[in-house]
Amino acid sequence: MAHSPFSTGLIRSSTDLVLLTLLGERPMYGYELLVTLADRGNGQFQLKQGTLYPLLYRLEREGWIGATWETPPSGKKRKVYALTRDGKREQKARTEEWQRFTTSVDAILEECKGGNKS
Amino acid sequence: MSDLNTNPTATDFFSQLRTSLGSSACPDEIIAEVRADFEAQVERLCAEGMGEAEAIGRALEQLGNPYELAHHIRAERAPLPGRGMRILRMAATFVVITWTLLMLWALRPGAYGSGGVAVTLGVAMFHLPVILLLWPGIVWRRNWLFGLLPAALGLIALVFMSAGGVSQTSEIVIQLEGSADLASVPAQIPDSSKQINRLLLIRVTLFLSFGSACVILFLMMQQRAQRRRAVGLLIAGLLLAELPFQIEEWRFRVGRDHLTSQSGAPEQAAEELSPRYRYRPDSDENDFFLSWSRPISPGFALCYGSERDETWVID
Repeated sequence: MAHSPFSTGLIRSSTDLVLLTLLGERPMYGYELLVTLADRGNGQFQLKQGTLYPLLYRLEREGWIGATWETPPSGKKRKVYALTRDGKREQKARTEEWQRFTTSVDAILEECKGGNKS
Repeated sequence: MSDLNTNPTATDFFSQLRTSLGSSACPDEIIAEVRADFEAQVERLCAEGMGEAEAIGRALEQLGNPYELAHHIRAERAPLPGRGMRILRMAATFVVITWTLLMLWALRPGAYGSGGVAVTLGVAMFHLPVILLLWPGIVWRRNWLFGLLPAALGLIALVFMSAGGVSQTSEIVIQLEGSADLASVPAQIPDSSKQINRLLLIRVTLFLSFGSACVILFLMMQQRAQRRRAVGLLIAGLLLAELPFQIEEWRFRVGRDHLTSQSGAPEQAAEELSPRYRYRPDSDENDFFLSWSRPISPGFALCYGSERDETWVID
């Protein structure tokens, strides 16, 4: 069954966490991040390339990610982003917050479902 | 795949993007990054079986309107100055820091105890906003703070206020017209309490204004790590600047307490003190006056009068 895309608000509230988590796995360049995003999460979480750069520059300005130019063995010079120490701390804090949030929302939905049945 | 650098659609897009980025920090670096990712996407789409023209179109669609893209990038990208300007601003920062230390060393010896700490804090707060705005490495929440304008305005205000402007301690007592008979002019002594209150008001106002400016600037720092480092350096700087004077004042208190704790004649105890101390008994010989030339600032001396148990500084 084809799913409708996530609402803008939902994506906006979780994009930072998603990007920090992916970069926490390994350093990546911009397009690599987009492809990985599309491949993971059942392909539901998709960003346009034009949306990605302002997000990355904001995370860089916060000091949560750093960037270096690297030349892979086969290919052109690319700007690779990686998580900083502050970024790791922020990613961990936001993950905990997200888990508490989703647990809370799930609990409310479950209780309401139970209430509706009775 | 053909050379994408010669593709007119792609070239047009990147040319518009470059123009829209204007004087942003490192626009060529931004273009290089976006172009590298764009080419990677076109390659991947072509590898999946799409035609080159269609792949280019799809990839450009993903990038969106170049003017909008540039607008969003400019909002997030810290407009860091070029290398030459960075070196100039760093040099200016060191000059202001040196000036701050010189001012501190000139003013601090004239105060004692908590008054001295207030002088150190006041001098630091007066110069800190300019130091923070001049230093090119700080990432600010607002892009306009990166510019030279706020730092330049702060520097002008600093130079003006350091130069002193109009003296607050002088006032015209009486204006003579014509050839007045001086003997008939009543004596008018300036109200010194009014002067002190005015000075206090000015000092408190300046203290609050510059203190608030410092707090606002710290809150405007984008990166928490930089904020922590700046606060840490400030505290370390204040402690290092204040420590020699605190040690000086402690040494003076040791000598003073040595004399005041003597139940007998303090003259004998005074002889045990270093020659830097100058002891003078009062006429009634129950009280004494002690002075001590500050080692760091020889032009100033710490003084103590046992009659009123008061400590003050003379220059």
